[in-house]
This record gives sequence, C-alpha cells and structure tokens, in this order.
Amino acid sequence: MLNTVLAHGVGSRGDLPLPFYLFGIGAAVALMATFVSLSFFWHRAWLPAAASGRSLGTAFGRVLDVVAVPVRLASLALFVLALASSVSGAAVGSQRFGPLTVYVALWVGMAMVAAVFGDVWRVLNPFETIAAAIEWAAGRLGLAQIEDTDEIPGGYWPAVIALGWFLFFELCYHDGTTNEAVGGAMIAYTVGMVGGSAVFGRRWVRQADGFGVLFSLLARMSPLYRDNTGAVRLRAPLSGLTTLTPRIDLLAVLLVVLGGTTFDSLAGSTLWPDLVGTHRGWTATGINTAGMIVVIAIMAALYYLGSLAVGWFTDQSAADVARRFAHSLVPIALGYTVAHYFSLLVLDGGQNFLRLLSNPFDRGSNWFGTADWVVNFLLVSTDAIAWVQFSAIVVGHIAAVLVAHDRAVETSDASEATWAQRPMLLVMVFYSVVGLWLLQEA
Amino acid sequence: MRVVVSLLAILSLLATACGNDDDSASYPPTTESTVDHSEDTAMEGADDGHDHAHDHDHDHATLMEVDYEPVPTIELRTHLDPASGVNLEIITTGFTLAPERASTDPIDGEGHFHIYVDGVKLRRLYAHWAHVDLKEPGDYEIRVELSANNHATLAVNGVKLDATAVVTIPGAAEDPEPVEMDDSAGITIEVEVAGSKPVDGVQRHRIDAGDDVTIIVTGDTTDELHVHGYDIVVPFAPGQPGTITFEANIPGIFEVESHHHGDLVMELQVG
Repeated sequence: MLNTVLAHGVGSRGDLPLPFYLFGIGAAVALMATFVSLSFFWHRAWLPAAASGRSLGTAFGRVLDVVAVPVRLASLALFVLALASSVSGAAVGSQRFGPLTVYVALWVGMAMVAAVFGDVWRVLNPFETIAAAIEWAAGRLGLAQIEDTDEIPGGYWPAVIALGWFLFFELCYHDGTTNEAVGGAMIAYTVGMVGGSAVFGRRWVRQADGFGVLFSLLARMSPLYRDNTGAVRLRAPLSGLTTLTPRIDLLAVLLVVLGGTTFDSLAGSTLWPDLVGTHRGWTATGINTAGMIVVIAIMAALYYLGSLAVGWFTDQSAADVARRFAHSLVPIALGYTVAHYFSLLVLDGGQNFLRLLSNPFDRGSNWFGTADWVVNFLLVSTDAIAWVQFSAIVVGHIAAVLVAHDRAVETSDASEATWAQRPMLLVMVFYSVVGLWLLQEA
Repeated sequence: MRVVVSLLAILSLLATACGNDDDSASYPPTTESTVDHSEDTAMEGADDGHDHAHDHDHDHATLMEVDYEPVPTIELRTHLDPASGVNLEIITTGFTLAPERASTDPIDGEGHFHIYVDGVKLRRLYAHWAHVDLKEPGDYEIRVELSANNHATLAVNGVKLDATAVVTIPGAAEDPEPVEMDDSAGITIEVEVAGSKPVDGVQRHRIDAGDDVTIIVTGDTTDELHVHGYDIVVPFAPGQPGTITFEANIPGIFEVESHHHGDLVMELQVG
C-alpha cells in the first residue's frame, strides 16, 4: 500500500493485504529448491556467453535512430508539459498532472518499460536532450567546449544522492505530492543535471541522473539492447546483468532503491502506526526520513553480512563479494517495484495520468480523447493484483539466486559454489519473506 | 510520446492478461433472502418490563404522543447473517431519520431508532439497516423503537410505536446448512472526531465488497470527512453529525481523513 504521504496527491487506493499467509513459507521453500537444483543442473556459467545474443540486423537500429528524434522531442515536450502544469498549479479534482507524471509514469512506468524493452530512457531522458541542446548552442556561439570524459570524479555517487533525494520526496516529505513541491523539485533537478553537465560534460547526466542509472541497471535484464555499432540485439533475459561493471556505487544505487521500496511497504502497513504512532507535518517527515534510513541500512547491512560470510568461505574480501554479486539485486529491485506499484500503474495512477494528459491545465481541453475517462478500479481484480504481487517478489528472488549462482560457478565448481553461497541464500530468503510479510500486513 | 505509448502497451498487455475475468472481483453472492423470521407485532402496552433507570443518556420512560398525520409506522425484518448475528431491516412510513438533529427539539415525523435486545438497550441507530452481533446460540427478542429527536419514544394512546422480532441464532451443530445472504447487507461505522483526530484512534474497518456502508461522524469542529478513492466528502459540525451511505464497490484500502486538517481518521478495507 502507498504511504499516507503519497496517497494524497497521486494514489487514492491501497492494495489489500495479501491473503495467503503460508506463501511466505512457500517462497522460502521455492528459493531453497531453486538453490539446491542449481547445484545439480547448472555447472557452468553460461549467462556471460549468452549476453552478446544475436543481431536483429543493423537496419532495425537505423530505423530506431530515425524514430528516436521525434520520440526524444516528444519526451521533452511531456517533461515541459508536466513542469508547466505543476507551476500553473492546475488540479483536475484531486489529481495533478505533474506528480502523476513523475511518480507514476516515470518512476513506476519507466522502470517496467526498461526491464522489458531495454534502456529507452537514454532516448527519452529530457536532461540529456537539454544538455545536448545547450552544448550545441554553445558550439554555435563559439563558446568553449567541454571535453566529454569517460568518467567524471565521484562515480555514480551523485546518482545515489539523486535517488535518495527523490525517495525522500516521494516517501518521507509530508507535502511531496503537491504541485509546488513537484514543480520545485523538477526545476531543482533540472538545474542539477544541466549545471553539472556544463561543468563535467554530458557524461554527468549518465552518472548523476538517478533515474537514468537505475533504469540502465534494470535494462540489463531486458532481452533487447543495442551494441556499439548501433545494431539491436536479442539476448537471453537476465544475461545482460553479467555485463554490469562490479562497482560499490552501483550496489549503493540498488540498496537505496530496495530499502526505499521496503520502507514504503512498511510505512503503508498496519505495523508502522503501531510502531511510531500517527503524525503529520514536519514531525511525520522527520520520522519517515529516520525510518527510511534505518530500513536502507538494515537491507545494506544484511547484504554486507552475507558478503562477509561468502567471502570467508571463498577467501575473498567482503567488498569484492559485495561488488561481484551486486547485479543479482537488480531483479529483486524490479520485483519490489512491480509488487508495490503494479496496481497504482494499472488502476488510478496510470489511468489518471492518461486522463490528465488530455487536460493537464484543467482548462477543459481533450487533446487525446482521454479527458472524459472515469477511473476503472475493476480493470484488474484484487485476486489478480495479489498474484502479481506474490509472483513479482518470488520470481525476482529466484532470478537473483540464479544470477548469483551463475557468477559463483565462474570461479569454482557447482557444489563448491552452492556451499559458499548459502549465506547469500539466507539473505535472499530473508528479503523475500520480509517483502511478503509486509504485503500481508498492508 | 513514447512513455505514453509504452504505458498504453503495458496497460493493454495487462488488460489482456488479467482484465478479462470481470466476475473475479470477489463480491458476495447476491441472492434473495429466504430466511425471514419477521414478526411485526406491535407491543401491547407500554410496560415492557425493562428497567429504564439504567439508561443514563436519555430518559426512555418519556413517551411522546403522536398528534400529527400521517402516524409513523415501523416494521422490522430480520435476516440471519451467515457469518454471525443478525442483520436488521427496518421499514418505516411517515418517518424520516434525522441524525443531524439528534438531541434537539422534536419535529413531526422525524427522529431515529433505538434497538433493544431482550429488553436491554443496545444502541441508537440512524439507518434502516443494522447488524447486531449475537454470538451465543438461542432465541433473542429484538425490539426497535421510533424515537423523536429528543429521544422520547413515539406512542399512540400510550402504546409505543415499535416493532419486535424473535431471532433464533442456530447452534453450530444444529444448523450446518449455509444460510443465504441478503441482497444488500450493510455496515454502520460511527466515528467521533475531537480536534480533527479520531477519539478512539485510527481504526481500520473491514467491509465486504458490494456492501452498503453508512458512516456517521460526530465532531467538535466544523470539518468534513474525505473518503479517498470513492472521493466522497461528508461535512459535519459541532452538534450536527454528518452521515453518508454508499455502496463499497471499489476493492482496496482507503484512507478517510479530515479534509481541513489532513489528519487520518480511519481506514476502510473493502474486499
């Protein structure tokens, strides 16, 4: 269920508690069964070999390059529209277009699109478009060009900060879904992105845009990607995760998102008010912020402990293990996002976004014929939602176990790898059981 | 608008995948009531043997002669609830429920109900449907009185305007047959707000999808309740309770907050 904070401006409905109490046990058994069977049937790392896939032809890539131009401009237009709507203060009933665009279409919709269709955010990213336009204009005016570097100092930590700031806004700040807040945040974020690229070059957006970094991580699960020549290639789902550079800052991106989503689940459950009472205003903001930091810290500490134990079995440092297996957290992050926000996307959130797209300024316009839509809360049954939630958590963790096993057998044989990976399995079981438990207490 | 196109694509995929089973929304079965223990005998005589001294809040010994036309009538029907207790259906003519004027001067043809179980007052009621939780198997006498706004019981020639029914709560062993549910079961939620916060704390009320929900809110400030999702607003003021009845047809969890202050008052869990 959504946090109280989010419920006011974007979602108006929370999911029912998951009805199946025994499925936490079912999930744990499924994970362990997967783990054990992998040790029997999966002796060789084959995901890295599958990661290059096969080409769908360069023609496809060229078509996409042509289509990308209007799509990029349309995405920029949507961004400007959302910003203008928020700045104008327009609200259609209780709904506002800016917050819907950011919290539903971008945060939830793009995450799922990235995992299925690949890194389309690289084309859609309005900050990159703006930065490119400024660069082009600067060139025309004969101003000094900034050398585009391979990597800016600070790595992906700016993205970690950007995501942490976004999650604070979405889940902690008591007024985070108003037009003023979202409009102001969009302007501040744009200034950060464009200003940074003025100093560090356009590479800055690739490393500081938290959305972009997260979506590109999720996109590695996708069976579709483009290689260096621009050709579109088809690969085994999940195999792209093996191409991820093992880095501590990318691990931090994933842990912040995992912790944030788990905190959202906790804050929406009946456990949270029992724990901290009900508050509003800045008191609520303070308590939520502390709660989110604690949850992120717990998730990170568990992952670190798992890494420490695996490292002890395999004579590696905990940091090495943590980096090498960071990619296994990507399917879990997607699973959590689907479990918590699927109903928001298909019911009131997504439908209101499409509805207000036709009338973002509340001036009676009906640009795309969707302005008269009435939200159909029965589009997906509560049973279907419950199954999606359960499946997303379980399948996400099974994928994580599989990806981690594939990496483990790169350096040792299957039974040894399985033996050494047990602590990480415990962490996965814990993550999934807690995730399901919070959904049962919704 | 690739975001939109993608979103549409996802929506349509999901709609194909899960949206076809319209009837999978878990509504309770809607069948005509076949169990009806109704008896609409008016009580003979005002003295029902009940000791009114126990009623602290109102003086029920007071009768108020109806000197106007049409004379209100009351009929009581009972429907055993398949889960527990009994659902009361109160049918009246010439009588309007006026919770907003409760405890004020009487107005002709206006007022509320008082429910008694085995002669003991259970509660006041502002709706035509009510659930009475009767756990122990056995016979219960349920009586509903018409009360004026000032809580005096309406009467004609000293005879109370009320209706009585005897309900038999079956024992678990005696009655294994499932009892069919009434067409429109209902639930009444009464909430009291002090300074925009709920007096009894934030509670979650569980409601079956498709049931009628009546919310009665009393408060010491002028404010309104906002039921999210349903987007229903119920205004209330000191001495003027707000009341609303709606069908709980959207499954999910919905927050109910005080609109002016933004405090969470309660949650509705439908389905």
